[in-house]
Amino acid sequence: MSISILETKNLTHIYSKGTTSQVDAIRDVNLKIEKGELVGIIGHTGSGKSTLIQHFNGLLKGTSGTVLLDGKDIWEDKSKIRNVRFRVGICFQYPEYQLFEETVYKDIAFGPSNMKLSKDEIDRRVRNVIKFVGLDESYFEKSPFDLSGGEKRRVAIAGVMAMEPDVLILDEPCAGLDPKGRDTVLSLISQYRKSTGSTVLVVSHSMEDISKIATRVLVMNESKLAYYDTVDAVFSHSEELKSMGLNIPALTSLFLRLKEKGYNVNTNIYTLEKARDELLTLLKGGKSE
Amino acid sequence: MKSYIEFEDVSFAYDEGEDNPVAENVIENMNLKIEKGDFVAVLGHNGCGKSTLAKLCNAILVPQQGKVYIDGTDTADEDKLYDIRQKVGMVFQNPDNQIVATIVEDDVAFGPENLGVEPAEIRRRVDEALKNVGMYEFRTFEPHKLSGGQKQRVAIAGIIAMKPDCIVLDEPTAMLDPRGRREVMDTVKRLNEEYGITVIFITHYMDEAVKAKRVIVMDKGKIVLDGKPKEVFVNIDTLKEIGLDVPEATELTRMLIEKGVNMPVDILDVDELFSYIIKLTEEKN
Repeated sequence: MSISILETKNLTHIYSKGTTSQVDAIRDVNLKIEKGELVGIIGHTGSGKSTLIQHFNGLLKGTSGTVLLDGKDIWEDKSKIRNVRFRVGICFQYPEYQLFEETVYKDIAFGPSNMKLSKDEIDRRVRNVIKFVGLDESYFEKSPFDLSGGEKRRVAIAGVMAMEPDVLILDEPCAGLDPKGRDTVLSLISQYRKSTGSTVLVVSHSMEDISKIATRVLVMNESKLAYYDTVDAVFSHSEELKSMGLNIPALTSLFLRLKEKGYNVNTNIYTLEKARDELLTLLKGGKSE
Repeated sequence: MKSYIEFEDVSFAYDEGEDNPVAENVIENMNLKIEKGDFVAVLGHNGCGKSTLAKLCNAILVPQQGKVYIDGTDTADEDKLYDIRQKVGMVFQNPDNQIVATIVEDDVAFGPENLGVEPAEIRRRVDEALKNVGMYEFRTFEPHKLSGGQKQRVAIAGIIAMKPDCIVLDEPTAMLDPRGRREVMDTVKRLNEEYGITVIFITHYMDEAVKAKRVIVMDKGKIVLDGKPKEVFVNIDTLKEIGLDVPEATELTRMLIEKGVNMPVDILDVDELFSYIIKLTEEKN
């Protein structure tokens, strides 16, 4: 059996343990994420999503339980935790607030510089990632603060990609962007995963976005792992998801309702083209020619 | 008789500076009338001038060319600035930037206190405003312990405690989760329907815009579409050209029509589409 890139065993985190404000942020999470997956992480605010992802690179240490990266306990040798942070890169919400350097080049180079890489290697990486985020080298000498909101966001994401992490985690990468900006960021994430083969985890509130790019969906609810399965399997639990305060993609909900009414339709529908074909089949009262 | 809000040939450009070497018009010869009691959603991609439009509505900005009238008052008249600000309240995107006090009810009282309202009347208004947004039971909470949607509702309560005729909300849901978005939208809708408060609601979300009475789509400082949601969203090509989303139900409907299915073009949401599909299959049998 192959080793999962990321695994948690009975991972539990309790904030303010032993005080009156004790909160179980995550409880008993058992999870195996395989290499190369694009995992969509969903859950209502306060469900434990953010706490969970901060365990993956050791920003938080579980109250009990373990996190395995490539089969090895990340806390086995405390002095090596810095290496874990290079291998699992987290890009937080509104990452553009964390831009600080004078130029785009220096900002992207900041992460790899901390890894004690050679100058040439840093340069290679910076030139490589600027393409991944749909910008070009003409941006290198600009101040990051002169860019548009969408561009800043992409430079910030590039800074994490430049560390070439085995696992890239993005927390709400599309929050606050307009539809065009959102589509750009989503497609560059898919593209990045395809061309590097890295594992990518994306936290999002948009079920539509998740259904379009993810290979698997992880659902957190009330500090527990509710589901970790394929997109189809997770969104087939529409009632359960609703009771967790989550939506299902609008198109999918149409087909689930038709099925409920007794119509013979497929419900694993996430794109307009598939929805159209499924409805045409239904309206023609049989298989389409 | 003027409309409640009226833009007459308005153009606006930000000052030239290091960040803005050429002062281009962000609002270009705009004419717009908004009646009292309306609920107007304003759509457009980043940089299209929507936020500038919002700030022109309560004299945070004053046009270099043309006039903006609020309830018949010219916003360029500096003596009337306080009247205008009291009539038109604003709510911004980031709830954390709008809360000034350490207790929810103090925060809501901040506006009316500055207007010099009597203490007993302030108490009454604060309680009423908090009840209106469904936050009364949180009145003694510290704002930082609230969710984004709750904070945004406190910000709205702070505005309605000043008894405005109109509220302008500039992407109030952009930083919220789905539940927070619903809470804010429901609150704003109720204020419009039950209290007749005029609402100008700036958003990127189509599912929010379809709930408005009127939708204005902006691009490059101009109004490109203006009408009831059903009239605006059938313009799928125009909306896509300027980089906006189209409700999925509307787009799907058009794809079905192109394939020869006989149905109306102006279906806006999944509920409507669902009912129509049921109707079509029943007619056939």
